[in-house]
Amino acid sequence: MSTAEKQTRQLNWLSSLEAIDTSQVMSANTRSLLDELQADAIDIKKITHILTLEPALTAKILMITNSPFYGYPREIKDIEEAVVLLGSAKLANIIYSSLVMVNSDDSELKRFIKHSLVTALYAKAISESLALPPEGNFMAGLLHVLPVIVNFEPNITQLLNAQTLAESTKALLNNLSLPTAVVNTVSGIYLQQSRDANTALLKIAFNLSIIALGKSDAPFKHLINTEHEFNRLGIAPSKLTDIFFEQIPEKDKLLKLVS
Amino acid sequence: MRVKTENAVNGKTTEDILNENGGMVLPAGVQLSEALVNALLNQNILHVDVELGESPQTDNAPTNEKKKSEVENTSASEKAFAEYLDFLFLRHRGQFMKEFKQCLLQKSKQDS
Repeated sequence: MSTAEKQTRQLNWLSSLEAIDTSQVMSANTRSLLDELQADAIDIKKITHILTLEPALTAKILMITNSPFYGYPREIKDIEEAVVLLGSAKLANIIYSSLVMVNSDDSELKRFIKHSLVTALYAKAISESLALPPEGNFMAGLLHVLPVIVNFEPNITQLLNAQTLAESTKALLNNLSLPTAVVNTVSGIYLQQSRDANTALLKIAFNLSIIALGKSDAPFKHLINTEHEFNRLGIAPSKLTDIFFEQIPEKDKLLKLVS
Repeated sequence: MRVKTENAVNGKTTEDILNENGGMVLPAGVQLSEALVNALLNQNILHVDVELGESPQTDNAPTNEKKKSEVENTSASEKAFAEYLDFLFLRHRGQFMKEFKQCLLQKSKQDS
């Protein structure tokens, strides 16, 4: 592909991303649900009622809840029981996870989905090791390649560079009414100079995902240079290595969700 | 005889195989092909009750050949991981990135 052809394809892809109906990515009901989950006192009946209007989302929640990743001792068949058992924070995480877990047989798309899930896993683990709040970083990890997933086209990897990904983030994530901090964290990952600690953490989590997925499953073939980010977070390479290997069994369970 | 699933190829199940939810995965009396063994392992079923052929493999007495192949597989996966890290870290010359790569390599050898 010539440079001109590539630039044309990139522009076309970004245009089609801007034209996406965001209600297809996150329905109004899902948005209401996420708002309800942030309330000080959650209304289980209301949450369960909203979920009955979204059978596909309900099915995904039950599938993820019953997976070895969550490891409940018996099958949870009832969505109300799932809501009570999981609690608002975990349920919100699962709902965001369902945004990236689109059904597809395309192996290239599945690589991006796996990378989203594993980056989120490592973002959460690194946050917890540094005593930072994990939820926002988990969400940023999940959603940092959401534009690629929802506007996927074959051989898209050839089009992607830092600039295209940064612009795709602006085009989509701002329109989904996501927390501003999360959108800023994700945007920062594609910029060379970002002083935000959460962005630094996300860059490192991104790298751990590329390493953990291996040559055949990683959608990106290069690591981000995180020399400054190690310093920014004050995390030793040996500690990061421990985190990497500790999460491998969880990573394996998570990848089974992507059939 | 209860054996590790990975050693049960060509064995015939002597009990129904159930998943962790109690649902039946395979009934008794089924000959386990390699594909079936892999499917059971994917469902996290690590032990099965089977009747094996003339050369049974049990949990307590792994053969020298099985040990040798485990060692070879471990060396191959270690080597593949090291090569992958060489590729990923090729352009990263900073102190922390180099140290991180070394830590990953050392830890992968310790864990294998």
